[in-house]
Amino acid sequence: MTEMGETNAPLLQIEQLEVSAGASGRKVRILQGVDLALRERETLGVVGESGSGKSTLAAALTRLLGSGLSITGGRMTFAGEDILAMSAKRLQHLRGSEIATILQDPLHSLTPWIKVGLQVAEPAVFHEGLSWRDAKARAVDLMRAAWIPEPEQRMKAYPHEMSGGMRQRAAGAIALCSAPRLLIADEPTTALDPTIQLQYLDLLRNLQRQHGFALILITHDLGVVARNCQRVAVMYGGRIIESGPTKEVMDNPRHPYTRGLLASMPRLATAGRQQKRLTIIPGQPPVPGAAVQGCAFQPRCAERLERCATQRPPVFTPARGRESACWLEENTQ
Amino acid sequence: MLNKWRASDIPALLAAAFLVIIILVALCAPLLAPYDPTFGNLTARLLPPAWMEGGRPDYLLGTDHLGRDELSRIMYGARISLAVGIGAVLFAGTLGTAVGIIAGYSRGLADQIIMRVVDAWMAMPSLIFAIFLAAMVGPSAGNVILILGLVYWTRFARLVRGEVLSLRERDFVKLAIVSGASSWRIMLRHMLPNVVNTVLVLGTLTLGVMIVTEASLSFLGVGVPSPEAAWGLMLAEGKAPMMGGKWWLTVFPGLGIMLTVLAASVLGDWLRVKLDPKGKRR
Amino acid sequence: MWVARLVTKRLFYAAISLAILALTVMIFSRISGDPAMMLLGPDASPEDLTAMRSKLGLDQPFVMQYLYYIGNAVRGDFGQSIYYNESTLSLYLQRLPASLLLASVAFAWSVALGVGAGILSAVSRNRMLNGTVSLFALTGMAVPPFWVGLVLIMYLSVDKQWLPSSGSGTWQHLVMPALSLGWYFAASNMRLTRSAMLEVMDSDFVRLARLKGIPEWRVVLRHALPGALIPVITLSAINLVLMINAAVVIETVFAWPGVGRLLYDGISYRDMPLIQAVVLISGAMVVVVSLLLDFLYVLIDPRIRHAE
Repeated sequence: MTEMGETNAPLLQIEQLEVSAGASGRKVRILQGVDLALRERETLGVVGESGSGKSTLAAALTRLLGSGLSITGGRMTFAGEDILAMSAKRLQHLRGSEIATILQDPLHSLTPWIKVGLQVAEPAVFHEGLSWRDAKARAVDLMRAAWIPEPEQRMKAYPHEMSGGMRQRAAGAIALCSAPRLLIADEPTTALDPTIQLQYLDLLRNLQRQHGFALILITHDLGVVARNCQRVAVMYGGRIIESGPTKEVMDNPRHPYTRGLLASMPRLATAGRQQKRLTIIPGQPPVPGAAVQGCAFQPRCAERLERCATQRPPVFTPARGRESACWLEENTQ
Repeated sequence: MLNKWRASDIPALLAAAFLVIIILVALCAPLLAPYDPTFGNLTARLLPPAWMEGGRPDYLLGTDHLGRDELSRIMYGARISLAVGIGAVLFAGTLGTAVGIIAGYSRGLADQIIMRVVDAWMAMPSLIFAIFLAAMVGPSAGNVILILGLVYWTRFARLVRGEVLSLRERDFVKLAIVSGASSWRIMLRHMLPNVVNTVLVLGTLTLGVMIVTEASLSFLGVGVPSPEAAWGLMLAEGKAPMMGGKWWLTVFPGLGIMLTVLAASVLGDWLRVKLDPKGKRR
Repeated sequence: MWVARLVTKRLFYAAISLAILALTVMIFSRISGDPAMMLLGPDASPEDLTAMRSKLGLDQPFVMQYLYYIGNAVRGDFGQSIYYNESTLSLYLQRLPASLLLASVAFAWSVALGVGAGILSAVSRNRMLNGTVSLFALTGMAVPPFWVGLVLIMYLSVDKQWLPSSGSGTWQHLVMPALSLGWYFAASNMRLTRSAMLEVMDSDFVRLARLKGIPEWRVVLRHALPGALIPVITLSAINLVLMINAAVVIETVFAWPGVGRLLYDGISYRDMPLIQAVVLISGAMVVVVSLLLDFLYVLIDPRIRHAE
């Protein structure tokens, strides 16, 4: 467990979270031993390839996992409350008004047959009991704050009548409708054009400054993390294998996987000058849930030791605020 | 393909088993049936099934108004339903597949014309049209096969044409065209084997429709004629006795139809899932 | 304008369908025998037969006959029924309301029950409910409608004597025919609604709606259901046509005085002109109704306009 040493108690605290799939007897672990702590107004980046479990983690936070998946271990608290003990009604209120979510593909995450304005207004109606009229008025303001031009007109549009960037901004407006304390953005820019991506992240940062929510930014793009997140957690094979302040992790990665990721990123600063080819990490990431002996990354690791194949490394704390799940860290403890 | 059996395969397995049994019964009816289905014993009319009061053990499912044994008639009825059904499916399938391949492969004007005809044909209500044709040419099992084939071939044509259209764009076909293979050869050797799966699925699913349509035609008196033991005809003849409480004359033939059609549908659905290369979600 | 182009194209195809329909009816009618002989009876003299043939236009070349046939049809002359000695068209129109009544009631309940049960079964986790619905859906589609009718008669008419087994006139007469006719379609709707709902409920926007904390009832009804209804509406359009088919046999079983029964009577009395007329008019109606539904469809779904 990491000692924060700060005075704010964490807003979100996750301990040893385990998510499994399949009926009892054939439990397949999708996430295991996940520890996470997030403070108010903090931005955490969660990085990983497809299948690393990052989206499952996001879904687990509000206990809206897909069919067949369930939380089989660990604890989660939000603002001191035990999420796992919440009633259905409490959860319904939690979602949308205290923890809001933005999904990846706005074309498919907005309901095609409901006008956008109504979708933005919905949370206010159902969480705060506002009348539709008042909620729609608030929706206009929200959309304006989300940098959507002419919001009054846009209210009456259907999702397919808007551009991708505007749809995602509408999704942001939806998320902020009831002033959440935590916003989970699951790959919010992956489906957007590159030029729009930067714009959107600026918007999120802006909104965060204004409204003061904590942000979990899930992405596979290290560049996004570098620009926007104070802390980063790297996921692999259903576990968080490295975490710490972004700058430190990027300047001095400790886990071989993180090192490999950073080495495979093209850098603008050295573009054209380097003679070396980009390194890639050989091999394939593990299939989610596949039972693995030892370290999940070990088959592809250039620095593996003998024990990596048989014993799974626990999470070490090589420095304050830094964690890494690798046997190489054993000596630094 | 068949290496992993799962629990979800059980219904299809049962369905297939049932169909096999029915087919065997149909084939061996002359050997299995205790009585002649068309010749009745007038002293044993309208007997209830053996387990009921008044029933006799040698007439297991009872007799009809002419003293004909119900069990034997059911067996022969299976024979007729399956013969007509399978015959019609084969006819419709062959004709439809051929037209579909030609239309899909030729594209252009030939395709357009053929598809217009197919569309026009499909616009006509199938049962009514079948009834009309049957009324015109007179009742007989052979006629029914022809009529059913003529009414339902368009389903196959449409489906096959769609498949062929997309097949045509595949590389192995383009290669064959470029290397100078004749159109006929391409259609036979490249198109046909690849549409067989789809046709098989549609054929199994259509079997149920054929059986019901044949039963409907026989019921109305324009299908398989008396004194044959067609299930549909048995239902028609059994209606009047049923009004007098003799339920077994309609329940058993109806069950026969329902179970056979059900089995064909279940099997067809299972085949569709198994043979679909994209593995569509259920 | 795209509208004009679409309309003309569809009209053209419909016209071709009708032409082929008329052609097929005409050709197959000839197969059943010499119309002149049928009208005059087997002991008519050869001169009478020739005269009748000439009167009927049978000595003309085939194409001319065909054109006359269509010309007559367009003018509303579908021939004279031998048995009833009336215009077949007027007979048809007399019986049509009864068929429409039966079909609409059957359609209404099959949609209501089918869609309702489909939604419930998709949303609820209750095993019993799901099992029953699935079973009903599966068997309902395998049962021939007229057998349902017979079984219903057996229980409700013969056994319990609650409902009349044939004829029309009161709502009691309508119950069993409508039940039998709608059975298959209720099952088909149930199946489709259930699978469409399950698929929609799996989509991202439903997930987002839940993540927003929207109450489940609204998620199901407002966010999920409209998507599931699209394929159901498509299917219903097709089913409407199929229902006309099934109605023939149902009307026969229950002696319901509709168009289907008229066809059956024509067959029983070997009234060729009547049979041909009923088939031709029914077929034409189906083509026209399909055409109208097609147009309606384009109006509803803007995406189709772009695909044309």
